Amino acid sequence: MAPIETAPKLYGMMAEFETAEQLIEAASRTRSAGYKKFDCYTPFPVHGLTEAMGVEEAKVPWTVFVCGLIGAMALFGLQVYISVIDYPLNVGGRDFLSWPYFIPITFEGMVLFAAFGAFIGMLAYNGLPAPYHPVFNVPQFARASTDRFFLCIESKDPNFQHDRVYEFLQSLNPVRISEVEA
Amino acid sequence: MEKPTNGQSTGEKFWRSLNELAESPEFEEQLAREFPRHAQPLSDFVSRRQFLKLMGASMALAGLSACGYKPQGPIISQAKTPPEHLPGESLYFATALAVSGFGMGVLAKSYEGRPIKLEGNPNHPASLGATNAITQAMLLDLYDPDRSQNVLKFGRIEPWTTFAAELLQKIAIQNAKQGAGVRILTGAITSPTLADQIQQFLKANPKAQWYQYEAVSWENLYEGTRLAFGEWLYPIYRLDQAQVLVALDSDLLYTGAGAVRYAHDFMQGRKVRKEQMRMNRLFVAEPMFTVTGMTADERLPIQSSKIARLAYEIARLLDAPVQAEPSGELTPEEQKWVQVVAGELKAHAGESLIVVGEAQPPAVHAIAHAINQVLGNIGKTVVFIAPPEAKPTLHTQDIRQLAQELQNNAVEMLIMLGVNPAYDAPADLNFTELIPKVPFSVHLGAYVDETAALCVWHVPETHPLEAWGDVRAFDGTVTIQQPLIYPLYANTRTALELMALINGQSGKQTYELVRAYWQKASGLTPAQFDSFWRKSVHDGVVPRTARPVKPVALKQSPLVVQLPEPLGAVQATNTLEIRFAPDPTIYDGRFANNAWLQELPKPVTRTCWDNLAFMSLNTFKALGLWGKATYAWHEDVSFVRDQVPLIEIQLNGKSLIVAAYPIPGHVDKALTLHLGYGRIRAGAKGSGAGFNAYTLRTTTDLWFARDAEVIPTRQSYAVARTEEHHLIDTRQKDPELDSTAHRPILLTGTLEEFRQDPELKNKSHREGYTHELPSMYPERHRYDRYENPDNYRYAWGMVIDPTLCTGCSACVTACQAENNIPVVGKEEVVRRREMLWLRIDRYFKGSPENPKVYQAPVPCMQCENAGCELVCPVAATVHDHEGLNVMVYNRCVGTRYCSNNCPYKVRRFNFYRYSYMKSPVLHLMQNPDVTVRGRGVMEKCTYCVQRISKARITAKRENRRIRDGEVVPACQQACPTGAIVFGDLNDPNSKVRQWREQPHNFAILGELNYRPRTTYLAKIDNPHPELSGAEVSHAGSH
Amino acid sequence: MQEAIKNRVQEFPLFEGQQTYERITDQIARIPENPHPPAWRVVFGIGAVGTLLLVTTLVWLVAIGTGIWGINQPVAWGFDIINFVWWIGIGHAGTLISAILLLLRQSWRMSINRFSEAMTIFAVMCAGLFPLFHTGRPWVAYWLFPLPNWLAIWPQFRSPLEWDVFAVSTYFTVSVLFWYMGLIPDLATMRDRAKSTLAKVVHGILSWGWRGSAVHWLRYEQAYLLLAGLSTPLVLSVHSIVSLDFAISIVPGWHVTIFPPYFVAGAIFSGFAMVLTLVIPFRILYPGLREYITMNHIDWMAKVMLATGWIVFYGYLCEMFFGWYSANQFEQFLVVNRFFGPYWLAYWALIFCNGIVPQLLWFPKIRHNLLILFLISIVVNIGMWFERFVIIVVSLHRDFMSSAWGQYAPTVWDWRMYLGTIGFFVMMMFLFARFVPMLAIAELKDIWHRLYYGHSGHNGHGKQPNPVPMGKGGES
Repeated sequence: MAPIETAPKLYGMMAEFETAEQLIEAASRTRSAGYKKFDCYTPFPVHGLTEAMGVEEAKVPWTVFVCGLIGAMALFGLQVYISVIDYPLNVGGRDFLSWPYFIPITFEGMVLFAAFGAFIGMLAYNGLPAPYHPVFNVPQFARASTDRFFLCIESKDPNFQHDRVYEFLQSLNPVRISEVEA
Repeated sequence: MEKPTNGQSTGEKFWRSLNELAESPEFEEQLAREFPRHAQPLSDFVSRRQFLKLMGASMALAGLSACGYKPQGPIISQAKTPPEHLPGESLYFATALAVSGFGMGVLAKSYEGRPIKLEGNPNHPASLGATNAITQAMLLDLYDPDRSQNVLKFGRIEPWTTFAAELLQKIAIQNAKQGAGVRILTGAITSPTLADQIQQFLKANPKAQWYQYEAVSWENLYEGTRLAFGEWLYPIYRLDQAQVLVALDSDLLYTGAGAVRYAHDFMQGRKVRKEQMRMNRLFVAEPMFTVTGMTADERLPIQSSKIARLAYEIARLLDAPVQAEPSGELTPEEQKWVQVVAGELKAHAGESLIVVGEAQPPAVHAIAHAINQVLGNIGKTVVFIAPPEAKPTLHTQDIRQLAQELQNNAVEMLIMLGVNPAYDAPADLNFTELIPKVPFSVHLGAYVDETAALCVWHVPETHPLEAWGDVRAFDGTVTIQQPLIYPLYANTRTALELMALINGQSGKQTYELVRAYWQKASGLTPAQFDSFWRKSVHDGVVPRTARPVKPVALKQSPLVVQLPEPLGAVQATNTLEIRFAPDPTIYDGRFANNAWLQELPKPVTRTCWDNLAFMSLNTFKALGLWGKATYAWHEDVSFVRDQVPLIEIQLNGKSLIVAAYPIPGHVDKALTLHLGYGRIRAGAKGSGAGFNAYTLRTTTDLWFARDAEVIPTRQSYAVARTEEHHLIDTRQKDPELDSTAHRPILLTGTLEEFRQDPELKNKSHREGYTHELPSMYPERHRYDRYENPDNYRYAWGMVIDPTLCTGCSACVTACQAENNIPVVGKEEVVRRREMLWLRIDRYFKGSPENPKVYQAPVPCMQCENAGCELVCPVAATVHDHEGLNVMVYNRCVGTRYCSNNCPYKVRRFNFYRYSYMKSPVLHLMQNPDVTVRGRGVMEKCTYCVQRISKARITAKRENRRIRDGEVVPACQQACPTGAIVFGDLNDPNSKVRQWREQPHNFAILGELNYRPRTTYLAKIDNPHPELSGAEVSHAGSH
Repeated sequence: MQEAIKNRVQEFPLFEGQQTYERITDQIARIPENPHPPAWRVVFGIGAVGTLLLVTTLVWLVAIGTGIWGINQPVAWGFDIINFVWWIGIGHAGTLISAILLLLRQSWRMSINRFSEAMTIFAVMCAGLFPLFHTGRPWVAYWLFPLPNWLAIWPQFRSPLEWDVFAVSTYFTVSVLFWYMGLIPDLATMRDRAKSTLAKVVHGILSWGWRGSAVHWLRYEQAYLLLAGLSTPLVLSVHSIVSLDFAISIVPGWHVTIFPPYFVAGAIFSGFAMVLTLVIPFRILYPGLREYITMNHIDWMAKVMLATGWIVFYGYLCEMFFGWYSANQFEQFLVVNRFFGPYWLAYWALIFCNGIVPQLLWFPKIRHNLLILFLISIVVNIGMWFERFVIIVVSLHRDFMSSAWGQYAPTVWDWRMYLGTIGFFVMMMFLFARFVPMLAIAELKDIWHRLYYGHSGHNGHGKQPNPVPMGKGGES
């Protein structure tokens, strides 16, 4: 019977595990128990966890794709505008629209924009930077970036009832259960 | 304003204004009031501000008629601007510049009262509108900051008046004893006015003596004619009449008073076109390549001392009436050569010519005269006139005599006008010790030179562009020299003024002196004389002053001559025959401080800033210098490193340390030393450059001597040259390993090949140019796509005919003067950073002993598909609509990629701030129409785009197209032989188009498909079938 | 496939000694946290001196002009571009290790990628200096960027140098992003471990408040993989474009179609050499790293060097063949000139360093002898420098018109600038070691978890009975 720490106002209830496998197990059981608003915290990307939680998304890849497209078109357009429309010059007898010469920069533009898409997209969708987050109120959570695995059911969840959640978490036999102060 | 080539317009206006002023004496004191400071000496380091004030003054003074200089004559003020003056427009004035007394007519371009360019005067017999490198560069002498600016007594600055007083007092003493103690030493003097002044003095002082000395003397010509015809005569060659020209140890196409004219005439017989498939033939026998030798169809390397034997042999074969005791033997090759030459001469009797160089002893000249006589050439290809000098003399004899008198302390007063005997007199006379013995010695010179340092008084000399004077050309034609600018330094005087002072005419202006003399000489009424004077000054030649041709006849027949003993067969490997020759650019040393001439690559050796001991490769190896100085993996492509070994030369007791340098085509067991270097007081640029050959030169061995002992030293010496040396095709070797001649660079062929196949199709690299190469893009920029009447565009192009190119390099210096090209100095040239936009390529072919030379000027090719433009990241070099490859200096960031991608390597980069000039006086010289390039910027030939724009403006004003020949780039303008043609390729009648349509027109590296606008005609030579003609095939094949 | 990997890593362990999540974290994270060995100060000092040398040289260069270098006509490019290509080539190995090996699922990359990415960034910094300051007028070098201006003067996009501007700047930016993104979770770890408030705040800011949520990890991995996917063609394109600086021109010896692949291979070659040059001393300096950068890693890097070395050597052979087969005398002369010309020493040095010496790597004994390996990596770096020297100087000094041939010799200023950049590079690497976890902690834990956790074997602790579901993430 793990001890419980109470908190005045609840963000959610957090269970702490020792191994990734236990967490995966717990995540799938939490999901089948019908909880929607819960999240897992791990020191490294644990493969199979999101599947267990039933999270599917591909926002980042699409963002990257679109940004890359924009980048390529922007820089090709820039070169054409400059060399053909705005200030055409006879350079070594080459055609004004000597497009093969424009390919390298077009490509670089694609990569540059796409890279920013990936980086900024990732942060944006993750809502980072987030200087404050309730989970940090749990002292043990410091180990979330080292060697412990956490599962937190949030109080926003419609089925969230303090005792029910506590019993449920107990049934996952975690190392410890803590209430997360909002 | 156009050059006054045809019309009188300029002249009349010019004269109108001058007359106005001549009639307004009050202007003088008004002037004095206006510019009180204008007479101060202007020192090199004067502050720019003050300087510009002064220049403002002097420019205003010089005005347009540019005959400023207070004591010098009429002045125009800008206050009443003459009608022909348009701000920003240049005016041209005819005058002449003299080298060792002989004048070269020029049209000096004056911008806002500053002479900024010298161009040939078409009316002048020595110029015919062209010039040589030296004349081009004499502009720089005017602005040289190192010029002497003050009257000095024992090196201390003294006012002119002090000097004048002391001089007149001494003269008075001398007058009492009829000038017994007075000796005047000058260079060769042709100036009638100056000579008249000197003669006046001599008449008044019969015991005084006038000596003339030129280190590079033509006295042997006179002695030669005396031997042959019994009097001193000066030969005038009519090379356009000669089908066969034989030059024995003579560089008549490059050195000498008539060289520019001779080169022009000679090349009239070499313009090979599809409609004119014939050319003359040039035989040259000489120890080391000269410009003439490089032009030769058949050249024989031979020691100078054997020339006499050679000449005698030719005479014998032609049974010329010569009687002599031949000694020494000719080698079989020489025999063969002699036979062929004799045969050719005979075959073209009356239209052939044999010429002997000034270095050869009189006897050899006499033999040549006899040969020309027997061939009936005299009167046809060569005529004789009385010597152009006012008082012809034998320079060596003069200087020896003067030395004698100095030795005996017979000289109390020595007046030296523009000479430097302390430097260039024969070494055995020890002038450096003799001059100080004179109690009162005066030196007039443009620099405080070696002689000035030994004299009591030094008077700075006025530059010919600053004062009035007159001078004769090689044929006697007189030019009235008119000033273009107020003297930059108020204390300078001309020789004429000095003599006038001595003759008690101190108040006189050079203008008055010259005018007065000609008034007298012409014997015209003042009214007639006025128009005569106008015309003479305007045209740059005084009518009917050319010396009349003298009929000549051998004074005895057969002619008995004393052949000099040939020195040829020297046994020991380290005793060589030594040959002295004037330097190709700085002549006898008088131009040592002229940076343009110093940096100009010497025509044959492509070295600069130095003179070296030139010798054959074999001799170089025999002396054990080869290994040290060269790098070779293969005989063909060995080359000489920048560091060459120093050797010590010992000649009758005197010794000289000098750098040795191998040069192909030099005769074995001999070395050639150029005079003019190793000066100690030439000025900032000239002092300390090179080695002083005069230290070995004595009155007995004036030109060549035997038994010069050579001792290699351990030290080495850095040479500056613009072409790597000795890349030779010896044709036995595997072409792939070969470096130069197998490269498809120059298309060459013999006259015979050209006759059979005018396109020279068999030459491998014709393909590149003749075949259409595929391109990804519509080639809208080729000139032949421009021809579209409703939207006519000029398509500028250039065609160069290497057959006509002697390599004289006048074009290079002209380009430098026109385009404000900076001088970088020896160190930078050693690091291969020379800035000259136009270079002359020189390729050897054949055996190193006696190779063929092929030359071509290489400017920017203005490619239609230019690689340089393609790789410039900032579009600093692009094409304009007329096909020019334009360089936008202030857009250039200096990545230098354009230069890397230029197969012709004609781009130049400002690695440092080369254009920076410490001395403000040099800024005056700059051409305001050409941008001065800053540091870190690429630059290159622009086809003189500024001249194109000028012509375009004129044409627009007159609402017409630019006429063919209206735009003349500086290089074309200077070329004596007309080897360069520029114009509009779209104009079917333009000369350039006609040249371009010649069958033997080709593009260098055409196969790269850069489509250069500058193309070349094949270099055609005319070897003799029995000599090299038998084996010589073409360079550029493999 | 995962089974195969598992078996392989059993025989070539990626870790040495008993590992736990905590130990991995601690071993790596405590290096920046604790005071540094005195050796660090010494080497850092040397690097700082070199940096000073660099700065003074640049000042003089801008003040006086590129004339202080040995460049001339016809050799208008010298040390400047040689060193540019050399540095950029070194940089490429970093991206290659982190990106391409990631795509290729090479688990062993995890322990050296952060390190080599840092190397990339600093090498590109050094490289970037040269094209900037080799211009005659660096103060207007910004004209190479398409900045709108009322004169409507634009860059000229047909010039490979213009491509360089975009390629190199993009490459630098993306490398920094890639590197920093990998750092975020580890910075979070540092934050959580930090004792002092300052450290907490700084790391907190730098880690953007990362809390390791599973969903975040999902997006993070997607982005990271995509960045890797972008960096791979990027790194190839960058060095291809650098090679086009030469291949676009017509200079014999530059105008070669094989340049792009041949340059890329050369880049990887020299890059791995540089990684070894750095890793071997760092392992000595920080013994803790030995558990993660094992002899196996070094062995594999040596093998990559051997392979790429052969590609490069094939490039040399191709150049000779082209020269002969082109039937173009300029090309043919070029080859001969390389063999026997005035710079024959450089060419044969290149063949020796890049062609012969690397063959030693065939022998396992040598691959496991750190000293010899270190020396070989130095030799290869030198060899790759000579390769650029031969390509640039030897091709330029004798091209078409033999009348315009010339010689080239570097001046003291060329050397000062080159050594200066090396000093700068060393200094930056040591600053990196001082402040940043040198190895990717999270990724190491991930790989350790996937490959060892729960397996009987000398280096897993088998407390977990049921087997690990492997590699779902792997295939994602």
